[in-house]
Amino acid sequence: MGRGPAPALIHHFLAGLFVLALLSPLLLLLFFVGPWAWPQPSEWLEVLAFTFLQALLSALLSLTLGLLAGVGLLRWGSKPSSSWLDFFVLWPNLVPVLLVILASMNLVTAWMTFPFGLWAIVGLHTLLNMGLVAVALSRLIPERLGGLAELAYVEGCSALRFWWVSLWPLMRRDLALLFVLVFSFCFSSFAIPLVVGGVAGTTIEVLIFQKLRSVRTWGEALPLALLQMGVIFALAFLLLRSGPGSFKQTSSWTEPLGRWLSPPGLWLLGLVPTGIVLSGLLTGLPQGLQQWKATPEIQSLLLPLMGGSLLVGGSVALLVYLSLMALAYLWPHALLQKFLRGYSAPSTAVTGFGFLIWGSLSEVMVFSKMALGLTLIYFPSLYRWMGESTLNPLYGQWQVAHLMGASSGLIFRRVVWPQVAPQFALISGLAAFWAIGDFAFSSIVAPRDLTLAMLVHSLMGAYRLELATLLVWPLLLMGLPFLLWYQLQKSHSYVRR
Amino acid sequence: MSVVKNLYRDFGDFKLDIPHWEIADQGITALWGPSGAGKSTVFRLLLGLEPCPGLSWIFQGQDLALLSPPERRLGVVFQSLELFPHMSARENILFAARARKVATHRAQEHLKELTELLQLESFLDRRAQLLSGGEKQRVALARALMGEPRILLLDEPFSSLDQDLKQEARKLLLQVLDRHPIPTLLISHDPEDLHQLADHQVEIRRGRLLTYS
Repeated sequence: MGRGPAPALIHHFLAGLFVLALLSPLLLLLFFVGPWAWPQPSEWLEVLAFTFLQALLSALLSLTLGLLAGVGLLRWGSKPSSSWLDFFVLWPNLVPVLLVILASMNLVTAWMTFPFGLWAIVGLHTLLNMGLVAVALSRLIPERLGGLAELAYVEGCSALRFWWVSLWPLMRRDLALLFVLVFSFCFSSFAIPLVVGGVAGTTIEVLIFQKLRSVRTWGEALPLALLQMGVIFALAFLLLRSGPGSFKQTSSWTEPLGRWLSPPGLWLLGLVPTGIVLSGLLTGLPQGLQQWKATPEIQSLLLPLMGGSLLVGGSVALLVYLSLMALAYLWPHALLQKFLRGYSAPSTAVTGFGFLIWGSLSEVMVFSKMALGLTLIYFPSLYRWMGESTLNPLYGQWQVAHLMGASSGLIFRRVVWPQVAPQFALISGLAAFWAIGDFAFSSIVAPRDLTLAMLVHSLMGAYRLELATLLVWPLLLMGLPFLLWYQLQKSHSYVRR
Repeated sequence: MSVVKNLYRDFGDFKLDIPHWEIADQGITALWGPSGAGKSTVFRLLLGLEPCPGLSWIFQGQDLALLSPPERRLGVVFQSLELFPHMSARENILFAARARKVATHRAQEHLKELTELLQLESFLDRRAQLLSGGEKQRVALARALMGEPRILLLDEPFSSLDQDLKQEARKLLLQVLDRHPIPTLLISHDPEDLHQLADHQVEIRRGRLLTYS
């Protein structure tokens, strides 16, 4: 349903500006970088194959373990405690990736030499994603199979047979969608392969980063970045074409379904990643404290760097909030929504260098670039993850208000904004937390450590893992209010899902 | 009489094909038929929620199909009601006046009258989210009437109510339309709606109009 010709024109214009802003890192690189050139095939084909392999293995492992944990989580049904359980299962996905990397390295090195390379990347991707898969499936399975499972149970079907005959065939489409989602995330992931990939574990994203570090090879980075974006776009297109499974059954038979389909302790599998991260963050703390006492230069850096982290986090929160609100004002805009569904942000490396090559290196400028760049990196995935599902249930109300003759401004102010504001504040809070923990993008645009996460990364590079672990705790504490807010907000929303 | 022409829509496996339809411009016209007959498609096309090239809908000498959906000035109650859950019943109703830029004193007068007619007093300041099904239904009707529409379009407005509440709601609708004689198109598959409310009935099956009475 269209707006009048004049408002529609203004909306299209604003939507165009919005898209340009999102694409700006890529456009900046295109503008500043000289002629393009493909790197030697021997150089990138092998890297591409490795990128596919690690993404494939990560997605398969995340999906297998996530499916088992998801079925286990069904046992908790709709008890109030299940919402907290979901929160703890999702926890590794909500905290900055730096914490997961550091905790895993810390835990593993306490027992053995860290296995840099393929399996380290796959292991960390699995730690990050299996909880998300588990929670998604624990909600989807009763929705798709609840009524059918009830009937099968009453008619005496065995759990094993139900898994084989119903769960697998009827959930195949959802599983495929989740696979594609995790695969795309792992395909373009940056921080994990950068830190734990080692020499043999170079992915396309890391290769782009390496090419962009030298002015002479900038032109070779662009085709690689476009190749990567092309693959992600194709996957997103695949995701859009298939869409979610359309059938939905209404059944409250979740808890018994869980008891029928899973052995008693299977749900604990969902908590394993959180357990690993938390124990990793506790390992080596005493040594970290000793190192802290012996390094007054680090002590003097703590407060200024925490200030830097809060500044970046606060600015990103504000920018993400404003971007979401701008989008809510333009919503519903079919073309813009289609674009955002298929669009994945240019890689961290591309965005980083896009921002590095313009402007000065003054602190104000560098902080501004960090805030803008991180916003552009986080916004598309946050919108797809939570933003779209916040706006879409309001479409019926928008239609009614529009039919009444309400202007876009009135609909935004009185109908949309009051209902989406709490959820958008929550999304912005999560973005702030991620920004506080960012080191990958910040290290590209900043000439020296300006945030605590950057210092932690530098310490990791110097193999001072214990001290790095100690300094991660203030990061976690800064993000704790956002995490609790996330959990509380979930149950207080006008928006029906 | 308003005249609808060329109400066509091809969905591949379903075709809506209404070349000519005369809708009474007085009283309630009920469009009825089984599920999947095309009732809701007709409703959405007339509202302008979906494109329908070639459609003409002449009402009092004006072709409504040439106007944008808000310019058609139609009062609408969807089956899902679509109240704004964060607003009170009063704010929901006054939103329509604000949208149509009805003067404040006129809106207040109209609100007072609708409050009385639809018996809204006891929950007027309660948030829509907290209203019962019957209360929500009355607020949705008041909101549709507040904008002083040319025509009222109601899509299965009583479907979520139980029998007693349905009866009450029908009575209230008749009272309101008695005071505000707005031509109304009611979509329903409930024979009681036809029996108690409809001045004119039109049956639709497989996308085609069958009988007028």
